[in-house]
Amino acid sequence: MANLVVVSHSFALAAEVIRFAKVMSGNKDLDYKIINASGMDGDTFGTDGVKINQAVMEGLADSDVLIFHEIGSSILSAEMAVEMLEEGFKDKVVLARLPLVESLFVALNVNSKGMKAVVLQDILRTEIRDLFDM
Amino acid sequence: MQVSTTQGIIATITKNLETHKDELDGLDRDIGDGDHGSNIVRGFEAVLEDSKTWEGLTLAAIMKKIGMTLLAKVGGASGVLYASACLKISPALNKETLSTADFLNAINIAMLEIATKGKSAVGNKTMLDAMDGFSTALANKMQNSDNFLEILADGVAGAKEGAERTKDMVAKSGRASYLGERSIGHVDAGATSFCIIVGSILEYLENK
Repeated sequence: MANLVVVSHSFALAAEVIRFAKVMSGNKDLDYKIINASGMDGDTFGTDGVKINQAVMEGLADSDVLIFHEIGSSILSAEMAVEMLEEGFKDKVVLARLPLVESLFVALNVNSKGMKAVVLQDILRTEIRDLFDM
Repeated sequence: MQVSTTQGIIATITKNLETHKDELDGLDRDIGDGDHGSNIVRGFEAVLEDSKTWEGLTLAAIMKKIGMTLLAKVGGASGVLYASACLKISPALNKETLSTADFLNAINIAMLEIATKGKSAVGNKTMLDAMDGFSTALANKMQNSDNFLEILADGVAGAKEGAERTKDMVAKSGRASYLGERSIGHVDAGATSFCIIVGSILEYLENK
């Protein structure tokens, strides 16, 4: 199963989205990591590519990584964080490119043993399409 | 290039961005989220602080450090774009002395990187329009001058013309693109900060 990294402009928003996803999926004990790599120093809105890179490395220590994000620089910073990884690690990391709240919630319901990040992302895409009737 | 020159340039850029912080926030507020000035100033203040540790480093290494600091401290999309440009041009600066051709080459590498990362192009009402004006004017002046300061002065004027051109453009990149036609009449904040950055390089070198 993939470790999950969450990137929002707001640390508090990401913390609440993580709490929402956990509560709404039954508050189970998780055997993977959810890392909040959001915001800047203090409560300043923004994204920090170096912080995201470190979170991704932490996630890569024992699995591959799926990155959840929202708009603008959260995507650009996440892409830079992946680009800075050494070759051989880059293909273990995937950007979700899905709506943050809904996709993180679904992820907590379907992420399971042995599941690669790219497989998890594929499942999430299908589920989100169904959810919004797209 | 001596480390003290790079440090001096950074100090001048930071000073001038601080002076124009509210103006940049205002430009961004018109058609974006209003934080470009605050973001870019926070980034360059961190670079200025980091510049105290640059003694003995090559320009290529310094450019990489600038990129990493901007990536961590700016917080907005423009920061990631400036950061990725710095990281990308770093290897091209790995030589003893830099010619004007090397300088032009670095700017063109930066433009390509920003266009690719930002999925944007010249004419979309972004910093790329000021960069394009800068690069074109540099290339033109290089045809009939060997004087770097003269060439750079023309480049800065070209950047300002490029930034001014964004006023009549419809935004096709970034948050301003949501406004469509309503983005006409506003100068792009990223194009303006690019002008301040290259203008500061000229200001420092002219007064050195």
